[in-house]
Amino acid sequence: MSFGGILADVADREKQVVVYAPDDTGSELADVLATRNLAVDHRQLPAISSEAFVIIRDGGEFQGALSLADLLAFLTPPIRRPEDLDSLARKHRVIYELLDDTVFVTLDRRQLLATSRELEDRAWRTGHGRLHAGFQRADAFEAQTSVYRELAATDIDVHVYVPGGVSTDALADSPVTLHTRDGDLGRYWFILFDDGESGAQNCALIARETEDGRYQGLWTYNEELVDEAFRAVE
Amino acid sequence: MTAHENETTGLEFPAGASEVDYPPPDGVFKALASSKRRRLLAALPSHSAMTLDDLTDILVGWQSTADGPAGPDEWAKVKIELVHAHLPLLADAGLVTYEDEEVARAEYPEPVEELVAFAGEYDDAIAADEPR
Repeated sequence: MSFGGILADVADREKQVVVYAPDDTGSELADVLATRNLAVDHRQLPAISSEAFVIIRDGGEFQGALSLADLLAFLTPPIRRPEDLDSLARKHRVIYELLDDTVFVTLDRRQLLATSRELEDRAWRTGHGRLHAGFQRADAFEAQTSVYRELAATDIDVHVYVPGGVSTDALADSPVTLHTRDGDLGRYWFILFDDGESGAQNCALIARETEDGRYQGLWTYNEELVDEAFRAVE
Repeated sequence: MTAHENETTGLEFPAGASEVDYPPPDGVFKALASSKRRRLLAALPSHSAMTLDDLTDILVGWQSTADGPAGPDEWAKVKIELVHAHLPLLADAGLVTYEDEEVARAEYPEPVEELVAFAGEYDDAIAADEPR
């Protein structure tokens, strides 16, 4: 399946979120949630609680309830894995399960960079496996060449995809495998990592630039989905 | 007929109290003796019915703002308690109607309305004082 197919599939796995808020403040927050693959319904809360909360349903079945503040904190990129969370944040494990460890998002460049750094850092700390990264622009690639040189110095099999015409001399003497992309693949900003062992560190980010200069895509720690993403490039 | 108003409580009973269908006091006070049931009454809209599932959502969601995220097990537990304990008790006290998975507030005589409102205000006042 292509990256486009993967994104469409994940977008279809939409969950329903009902935001209960005591006043209109909740509707603003519902707009933030609407950029995820969550169908948001907003309801006025009877005067029982002063704090907004959300109910998550999947195909009509109750999945979970949590305060809106907790949900927004969790969804702020970069997303963390539950085992990386400190004890205070461990309660977010429930949310993580609710959201199926895949987040479909609209992000700006800065948020996408933050998420990319998180995945590169995870790969570097793991030190083995394979990493495929695709850059859409020459400047983005140049900014990361030293990072990818360091990554390739570990036991990770590193593959970098750049648009045609971009100079890759900076990595010529490193064990990085360089690919020039053309066609469909060139539209995506992606990082795929497979730890080569248990799969516990596997992760993927796939994003496509939209017309307004933002990005739409997903990041995931779901092993099946990471495998699927590798099949799209290999 | 004139109504007497108790100077301390402000509760107003029509002189002909026997003409009004008042719920039995033990039932009303027992119904209000649980924070879960008071919360349930506060969650019900005044003039429309609510499905049992929506009511469960609100009670579990409200709880999650204090205790953290709740999953399906917690939800099922709250729903079972509603069906088997709280709703029958509230229905017996004449405070709610419960039929075909739909729950609604009953029409209360004036003093009962005030009593329920007072219980809610009291809860809010105490909750507002608690350190969070």
